[in-house]
Amino acid sequence: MDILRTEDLTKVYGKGENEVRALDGVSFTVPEGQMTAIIGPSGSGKSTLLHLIGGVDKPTSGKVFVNGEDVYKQSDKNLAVFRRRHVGLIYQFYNLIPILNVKDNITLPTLMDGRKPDETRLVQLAEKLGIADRLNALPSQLSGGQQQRVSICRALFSNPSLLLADEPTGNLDSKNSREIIELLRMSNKEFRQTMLIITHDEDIALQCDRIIAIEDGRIIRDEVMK
Amino acid sequence: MSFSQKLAGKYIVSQKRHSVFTILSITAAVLFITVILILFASFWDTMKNANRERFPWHATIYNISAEEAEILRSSEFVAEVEYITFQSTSGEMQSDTNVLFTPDIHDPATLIRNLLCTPEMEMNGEPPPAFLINQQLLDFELIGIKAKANFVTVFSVLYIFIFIFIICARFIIDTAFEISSKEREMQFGILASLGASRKQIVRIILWEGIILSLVAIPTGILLGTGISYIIFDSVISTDILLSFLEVERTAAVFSAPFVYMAAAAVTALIWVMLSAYGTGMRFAKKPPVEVIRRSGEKIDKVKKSRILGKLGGIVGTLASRNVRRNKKRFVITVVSITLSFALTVIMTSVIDYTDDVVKYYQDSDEYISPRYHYLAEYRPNGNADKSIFDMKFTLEDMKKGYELLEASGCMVQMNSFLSCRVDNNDLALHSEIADYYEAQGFAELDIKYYNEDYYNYIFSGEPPVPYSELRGGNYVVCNNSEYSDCLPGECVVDYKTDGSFSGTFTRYVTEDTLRPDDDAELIEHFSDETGRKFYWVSGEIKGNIVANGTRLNGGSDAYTGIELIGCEEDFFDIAKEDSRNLCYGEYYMILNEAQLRDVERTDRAVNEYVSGLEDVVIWMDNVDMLINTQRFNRAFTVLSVAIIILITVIALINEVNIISTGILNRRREIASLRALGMTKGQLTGMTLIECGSYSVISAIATLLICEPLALFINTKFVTGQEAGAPQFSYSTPVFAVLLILIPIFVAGVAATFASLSGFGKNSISEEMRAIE
Ligand SMILES: Nc1ncnc2c1ncn2[C@@H]1O[C@H](COP(=O)(O)OP(=O)(O)O)[C@@H](O)[C@H]1O
Ligand SMILES: [Mg+2]
Repeated sequence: MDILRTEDLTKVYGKGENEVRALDGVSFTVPEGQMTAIIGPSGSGKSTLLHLIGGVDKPTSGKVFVNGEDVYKQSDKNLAVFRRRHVGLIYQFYNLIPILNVKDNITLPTLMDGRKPDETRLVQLAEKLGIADRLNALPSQLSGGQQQRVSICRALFSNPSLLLADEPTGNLDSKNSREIIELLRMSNKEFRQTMLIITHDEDIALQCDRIIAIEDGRIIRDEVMK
Repeated sequence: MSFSQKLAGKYIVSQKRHSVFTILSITAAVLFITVILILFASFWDTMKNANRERFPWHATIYNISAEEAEILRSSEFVAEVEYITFQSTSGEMQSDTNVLFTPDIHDPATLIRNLLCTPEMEMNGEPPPAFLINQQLLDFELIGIKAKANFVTVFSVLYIFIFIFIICARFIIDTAFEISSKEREMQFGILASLGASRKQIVRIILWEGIILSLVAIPTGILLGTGISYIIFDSVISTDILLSFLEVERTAAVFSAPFVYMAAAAVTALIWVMLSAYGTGMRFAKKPPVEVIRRSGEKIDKVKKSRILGKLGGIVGTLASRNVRRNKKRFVITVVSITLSFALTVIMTSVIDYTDDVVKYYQDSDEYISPRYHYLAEYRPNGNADKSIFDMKFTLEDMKKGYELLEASGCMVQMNSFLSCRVDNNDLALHSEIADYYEAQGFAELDIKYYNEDYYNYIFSGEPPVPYSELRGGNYVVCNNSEYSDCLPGECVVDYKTDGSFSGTFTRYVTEDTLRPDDDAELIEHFSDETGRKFYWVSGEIKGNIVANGTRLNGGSDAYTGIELIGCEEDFFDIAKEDSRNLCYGEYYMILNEAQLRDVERTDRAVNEYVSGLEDVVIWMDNVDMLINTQRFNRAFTVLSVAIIILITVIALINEVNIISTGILNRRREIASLRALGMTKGQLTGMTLIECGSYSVISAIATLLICEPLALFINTKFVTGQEAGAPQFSYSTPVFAVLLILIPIFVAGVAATFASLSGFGKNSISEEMRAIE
């Protein structure tokens, strides 16, 4: 079953002279459990695509379906619920909440959902990601690699249908990068987590099931590897 | 604890500076509202008290029977009845029934009529009993429908004031929230991308507001109550109440009703909620990614500012762009500073103007003319109870009174004038004056004899001829400035001054004082109760007119508009011929400038002195009026200044916050500038130019606003007044504006340095990282 489908997704920034077609009629589908790499030169519209899929931006036209449901047809409230339950976002710059400790950062989406976080799952996940001993630290007390682990942990914690990562290793050294990719692959295998990863790193792309190349807001190549 | 409460708590603790500022803002807002409400309540209760002291009953019904009083007593709307019987001067038994009503009565008059007018009485055409309603007390006790309507009216007038304060409060709170949330915009964006709903984000800010309010509102109420007490106490101690409302100091009560405090608290809480909601919604409406990417602060156009660019080079250019990067914030600051500027300027002019107007009306009023400050009478030798026509004064008596009063330290003038019948041909007055007099039916002139002090005083020290030249029957023709418009003014100027005149002076005498040689004319209408007749007797008077002049100081007689002025010694010469009735024993007492400078003390001293004198009474005291006017002006000035300070403080608070958060918001950017090699000096220069442009633009805006505003006040409120009334004079107060510019600029600079001080501690890279 396809977990994600986009239809003619278009995003235009600005007006008139300043008009930028960041995304221009992008349509593709992603089956459950697939790990997809999105590659392309800077400014080609990769982040825009990811944000539109994650429900954090609004398309100019076109549609996004997650689990068969039209994402942008929902009310604002349901869109928020969609973000906290179905999507896990990982950014290049981690975007952790600086005033909350690691544990609170990870459980925040669950807390916002009004549910009680599952402590055992938290410990398991934290152990897998190698941050179990830093649960009470503040983000500013962590290294970049550790912060990114926390943000992956946060994204995985509520077991979302889709994990979206925007250059998750763009800010890390090669050792940390490798470890982070390992972690992502592990969760893809272990939890059958569907993933879209934006990356500039060819090695990372080659480890994925599928590579989508974007240029000028259009898909120019779409290869399934395995 | 929900996650939003938890987050709110964390934000409060982690952003201490903002939390403190928000608490201060809410406290200030609550304080303003509390002060105005409590002052209102206190003055209201004071008035209630004063009215109770004056007459403690709601109504008095005259001459009803004891049974009827019982009927009243049994009504559910009557709380208390007092039935008093007494004998009237004509020997009849009469009764007064005093009544207190219960608070839920609708209309006291209707109730009394309904209870005491039986159908039989109506059929027999008997009138209802007479009664008097003490509406003032009812009004202040809020009893009856009329009182309630009155309260609504009073309160709605007051509400305009409250409204200003409440709007100011709203402004303060909103700015606080806007500023403290703006800094966390990105975090709200992250929360939203993690799935926080709009409601949840709003709730975080709401909780924050509520938690801060828990501290701020009680503090504001406590401080507000304290400040109200101080204000109330100092107002009471000035006796302003006594002068204007005739309320004794003992009636003053400070009252701080719980309802009003609650109202202040609720208003503030509502503002907090609205501000939190508004701020939350603003963030929540943007797509989260926009907020995270920091595109919230949209810079669509960047205009070059040539002036600043030229003046400050790259630093100036950066500063001018910074000032413009957030239009809303810029406008808020400039508007609030401009408002305080403009208010200061206009208030100053208004205070001057009210001063002029009060003086003008004081001058034009016959009785409160500064022509004299007191009118005293000396009535020795058993003259005290006699009518003016029966008094027997000797010249010596008059001189004695004069000396007595002069010892008070005031300038004294005997009210001594002769009415002089002028022969138009003999008196070489201009024919137009003669015509005017004929047309008015007048045929006489007043001749006044002044002492030297007073003579110089009425010409403000510039007499047409020196006093010494008046001696020996020389006179000055004088028109009174105030009434010059009823005379063809130029004719006085044209008038030849070298003529001599003769006339008849007249005085009134009773039959028994009439002398055989008096050429007397009986004036019937002067006969008094006992049927005594009065005579108008006349004598010859001769003189030379040596000068003409216009009285400069104060108004004078409305009767003629023109007078001859002679010197005191000549008066005594004439008076020697016939001393009776020339003297009234009346003296004008005038305070000199030094005495006027401390008029309250002088007034006390004069009154004390005069009260120690036998046979002398002050029966017209214009100084009281003067003092009241001064007090009123003072109170008005204090109030205006208080309002100005308030608005200036609000403007300052806004400015300081906007500047400092502007800097803190741009930490990363400033860090980048420093990474690129900007020195600390350049950085300071850049922010100083920013502060400077706030002040300068506000000052220019003020001047642009004030000129039309002054014109508006003049055309709307001032024109249409009688001619000669003072004009609302507005002159562009460049100096005053410059003066207020200083604190505004200094506050900005202080804020700049305070916010920049933290930058030195952290390294540039730390500064850049701090944001992530
Ligand atoms: N908020 C925005 N306003 C205007 N243009 C934007 C905005 N966000 C992105 N763009 C433009 O859209 C295009 C695609 O951006 P993005 O999706 O971030 O590219 P990528 O992630 O592939 O580097 C770029 O040309 C960028 O300049
Ligand atoms: Mg990108």
